[in-house]
Amino acid sequence: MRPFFKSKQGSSQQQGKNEQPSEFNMPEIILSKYLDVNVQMIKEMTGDSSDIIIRRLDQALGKPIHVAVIYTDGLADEQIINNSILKSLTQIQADADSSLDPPKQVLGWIKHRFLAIGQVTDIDTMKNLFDAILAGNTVILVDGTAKGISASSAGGEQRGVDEPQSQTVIRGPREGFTENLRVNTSLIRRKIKNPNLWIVDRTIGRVTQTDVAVMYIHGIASDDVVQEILKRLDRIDIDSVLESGYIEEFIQDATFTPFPTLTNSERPDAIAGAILEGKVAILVDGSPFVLIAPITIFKLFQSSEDYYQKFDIATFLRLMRIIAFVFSMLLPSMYIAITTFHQQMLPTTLLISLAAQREGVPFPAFVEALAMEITFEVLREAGVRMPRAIGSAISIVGALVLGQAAVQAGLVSAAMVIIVAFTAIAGFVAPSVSLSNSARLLRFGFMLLAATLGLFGIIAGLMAMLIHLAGLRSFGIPYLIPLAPFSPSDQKDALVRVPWWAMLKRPTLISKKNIKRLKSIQKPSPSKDEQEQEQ
Amino acid sequence: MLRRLGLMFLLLSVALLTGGCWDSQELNTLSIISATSIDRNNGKWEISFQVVIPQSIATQTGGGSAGSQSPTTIFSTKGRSIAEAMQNASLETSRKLFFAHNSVLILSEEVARQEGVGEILDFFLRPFESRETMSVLLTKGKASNLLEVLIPLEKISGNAIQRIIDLSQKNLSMVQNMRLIDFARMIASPDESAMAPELEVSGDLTKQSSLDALKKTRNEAVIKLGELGIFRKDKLVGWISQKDSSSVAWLSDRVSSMMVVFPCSTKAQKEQLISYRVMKSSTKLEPKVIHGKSIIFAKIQATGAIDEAGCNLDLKQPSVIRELERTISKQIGDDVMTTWSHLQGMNVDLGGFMNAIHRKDPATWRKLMKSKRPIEDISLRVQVKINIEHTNMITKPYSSLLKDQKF
Amino acid sequence: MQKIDKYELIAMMILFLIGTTPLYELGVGAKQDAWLVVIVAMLAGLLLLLVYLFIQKGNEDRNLFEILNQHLGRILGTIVTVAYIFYFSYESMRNTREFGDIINISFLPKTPLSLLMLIMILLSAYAIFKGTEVFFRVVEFLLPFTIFGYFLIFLMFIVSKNIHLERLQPVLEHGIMPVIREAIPKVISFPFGEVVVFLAFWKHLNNKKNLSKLSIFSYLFVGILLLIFNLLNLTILSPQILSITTLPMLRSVRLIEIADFLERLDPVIILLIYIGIFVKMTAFYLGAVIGLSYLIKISHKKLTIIVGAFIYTISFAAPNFIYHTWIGFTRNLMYDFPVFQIWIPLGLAAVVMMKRLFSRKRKRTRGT
Repeated sequence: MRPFFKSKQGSSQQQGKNEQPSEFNMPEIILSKYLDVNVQMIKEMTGDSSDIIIRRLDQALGKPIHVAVIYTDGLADEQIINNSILKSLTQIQADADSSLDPPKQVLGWIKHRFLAIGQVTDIDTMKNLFDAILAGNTVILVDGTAKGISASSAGGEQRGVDEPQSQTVIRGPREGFTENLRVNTSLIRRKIKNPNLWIVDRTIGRVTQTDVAVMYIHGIASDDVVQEILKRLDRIDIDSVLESGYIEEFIQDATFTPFPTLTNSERPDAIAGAILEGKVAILVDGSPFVLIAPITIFKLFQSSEDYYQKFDIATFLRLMRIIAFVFSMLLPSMYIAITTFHQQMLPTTLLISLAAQREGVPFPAFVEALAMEITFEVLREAGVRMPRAIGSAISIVGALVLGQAAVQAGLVSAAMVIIVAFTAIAGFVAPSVSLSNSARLLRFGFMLLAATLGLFGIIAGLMAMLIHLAGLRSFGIPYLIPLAPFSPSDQKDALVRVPWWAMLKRPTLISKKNIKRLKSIQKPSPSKDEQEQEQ
Repeated sequence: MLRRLGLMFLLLSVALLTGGCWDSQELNTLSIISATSIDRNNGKWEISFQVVIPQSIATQTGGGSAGSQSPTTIFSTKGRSIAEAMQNASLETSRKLFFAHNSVLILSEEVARQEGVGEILDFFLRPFESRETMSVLLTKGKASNLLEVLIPLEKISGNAIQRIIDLSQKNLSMVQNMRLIDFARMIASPDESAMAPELEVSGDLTKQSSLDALKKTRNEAVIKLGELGIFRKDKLVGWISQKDSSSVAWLSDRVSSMMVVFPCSTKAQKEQLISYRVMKSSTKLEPKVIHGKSIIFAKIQATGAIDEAGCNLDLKQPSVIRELERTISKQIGDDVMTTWSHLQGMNVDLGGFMNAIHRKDPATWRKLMKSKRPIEDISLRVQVKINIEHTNMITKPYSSLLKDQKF
Repeated sequence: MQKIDKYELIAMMILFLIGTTPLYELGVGAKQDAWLVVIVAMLAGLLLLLVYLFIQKGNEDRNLFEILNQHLGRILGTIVTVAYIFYFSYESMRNTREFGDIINISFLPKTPLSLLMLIMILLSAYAIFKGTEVFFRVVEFLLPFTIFGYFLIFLMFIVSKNIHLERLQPVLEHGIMPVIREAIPKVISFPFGEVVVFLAFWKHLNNKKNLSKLSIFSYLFVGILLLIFNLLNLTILSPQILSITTLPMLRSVRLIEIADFLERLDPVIILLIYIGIFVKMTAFYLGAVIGLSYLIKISHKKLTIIVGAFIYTISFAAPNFIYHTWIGFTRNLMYDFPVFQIWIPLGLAAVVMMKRLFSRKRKRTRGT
């Protein structure tokens, strides 16, 4: 519910767009000429925070110049500051002939002659100063000038590039995104070495000032989609962005849907693949989960591994995933419907064995299923929150002891335990967590329908779901592409995956231009010499 | 708009919840019927159901303990109509009778002869629950007796009976599994007479109906398939023997496998027999009109193998085999002709002759239908072609090895 | 304006015509020749389709109601439009009531009919709420599953050895007349003539060049499909049993027994039938909404609610299922539906043709 209210607030604020109402916005204060004043102001504005380091030098470049070096402890790389900034300032002697006046020139000297650092920019306001030091850069102020320079020195402790935790593959790259935006963009750029890979930056979050980067390939991605995404990003007015989930709820197409209209991935190869298909990636600083838009429902059933494995097994796995998804959504409700409404559908022996299990079970099948499902959801949540050391204990207690004991006590039937267990496992098959979550929620709705109207209830529920899906769009792209609207060439990479050499086109309905992927079908065959030899 | 829509769905689901579950029935509120029998008693219908007791059948330790309980129990109810009798069952059962898994319907001869099966068929074809694939059977005595017999190896005797029929149809081709829908179709068809197999109990019934019977190695009583009941319109008009029913199978092209036993030679003093197993067969009926008389030409073709040979013949010789083939053909042909005369006597058409004529030559069919006993106006010519494909794993009979032995 | 593409049109045409049809045995009055009835009706219906297409061709960017008002003048046009709105609502209601009763007979005997029909109307209304485009997309998505489902059932009939082709003989036992009498106008009116509702949708097609080809192709495809199912029922159940069976397809499917495991597949066929019913009732519903929107200019959503409520109300008109089917098969199909499916379109086509002739002549005279 929370994002819903927020979006309402956002829209109400749209009217007074220009007047920034926030108290947190940095006032446009121009730097003072006097170093002491500047330093004092910084101290005041940061509340003299201990991690804002202000190093004052009374003599720099061998001359009596008052200089302050300001950076944030932990964000800036101390080694760079020591070796490239402080060393230059303290040890190098300026030429004797250079005059000290005007002090402005000192800044120029430092910038042009002494600093052994790649990226150096001028700053002249307090806002620029804080932006710089909070991004990990080092600011150098010189007494007597109302300007400063910022030298890039970002560093500090960061998590390295690790194997992704949420999406593991057997075959494929082992690297995953980190919390650092620049590392993440570099991971993608390393895969797509093309100047047409464009990045558009936005800063979102009045308090947190989080960097958000939108990445796409100019010339493949649809301009409409890119514009739409940027427009939606610009509309966001929120105090903080701590994870890409914040952004996701603001820019998704429909709030009241169990299905995701944006997906995320932790894998650079998956994102690179999506970008190459004409999609747009949204990277948020501080989150290893990169958003992809637009998406279609069939894309959610695909894993990046599908493209690395042979096409036959990839196709098989895709179909299995869809079946597993259907199972995880419908199995308990089907069980309820068949055992309480349509007993004639079961083979006689199965019916009798189920009936024998149900003898003495005190609850109706629906209550039994609901209780078991809730038990499972609780177990699952406990498994995620538990410290890792106790996790295995929980699974043993939960799965084995609880399930077994419940059956033996005659509280639930064994068949129900099997159904719930299989449903749970089927739920883990979906490559996208957001998709398996939607199945999790819908499951309960279908169970209710099945308990009241049997299979007809399930059919009606499915029909409603289908209408909902057909009406859903993700950034202007119909959700059920390529089945509805149907596109023959896109079938090659939807439910099935054909070999790479036959995938002539990119998904046509997502990127409307430049859809050619291969020049021609390049079916591999033995070279002519070999064939002749064989003959 | 969204909110209004959401409200609508909320209202709907609340309505569903509060009023819901009209038709749901839990598994443990059903009594699953596996076989039904229909008798007539004092001018009323008497219906008996064989109800399965799940706990005693499933090995799972869900409810009660297995083994000590009889696998099935039997209810009998009476009423003026079948539906009423069915309704009266709820006076004595704690659970709803569930018909969808009923696999056998047994009718007593009395019912089939006097009342006819029309009403019964109507009752079983009408409700959604009942299944059209249940087997229809006849019995000469009281039908409910058959439900009481416990069948060794099997827990649910209703299903077991169906399997007995299936198996004998596959191996002997004498009886045919008569599904309710086929039975109804044959009764309704203007060109066909219906038939249904008979089921009988041989042995002491009372001893086989208690659970103790299953503790013995030899059964006191067994359920057996017997003769074939023949219907005209919806009434039973007579029975034909098992031998005749195999001939009917030949005529109506229903032979899947059959054992034909015949003497080695007509001259031999001692009865020495050879068994021939039919493995594949086909029968083609060709109606023709010759000199104003309808004649059916039946072409029977069969392929099979020798399964047993009791006499000394050189089965390696093609000429001997040809001779045997001729003997078998003659025997089958003779049997079929005998059966045909029986059927003509009863004025029933089990071979599908009228159907064949109707389909081929509607004009003749119309002419025939004007006659009171149209079957008698049809004559039959049988042509049998038997092929002995092989003699299995040995060639000459084993007894040929004994011929020259001195001690 | 909302656009549909060619695949959507094909899917709509196919599922619409399948509708409830497999459930009934068309032309059962002709006994074993019922399948010939289907062929005759299909060919006669094809002529009707050509008439509809002719009307549409002359008025590319107009729907039925706009054409009516264009060619028949304001007063007559409005009257006929209103009549069509009632006709479409009535057809939609017939499907609703039919399926509600089928569910009651075969699935949920104690569940109130009013609730079942309410659920169906709500689902249809939901689809229409979302717009023509979404509805067509839903249909497009359903098509492969439906065809696959029917194909599977067809396959299982073969595997379970229930088909006896000899039951079709003798062909034409009583001559051709009973066949034609069954076919015209009964089987034309249901299902083939119901295509008239497409006059309300055709203008949305994005590439009208293929209109005729696509429509005729999908029409013939469905015709063959229906023929196959007609034949299946005949050969499985025999004409005698068929003649007393309420829902033949349901009965046939129940005879499938494969390997002691696949049996009693009636819920599957109910699902397939529901897809057909949904498409058909929603299409008629949508036709009525489009018609009403031509007359009254209020929002699409309000119209949906009004028409839906109307359909729901009249679906209680028949006191029972027996009366409902009786009036449908003996009165509507014979006398009422042909008016909307045959006579008015023929008249309209004549008017269109006359106007075209005149305008051409006028042009010619002006030219000389």
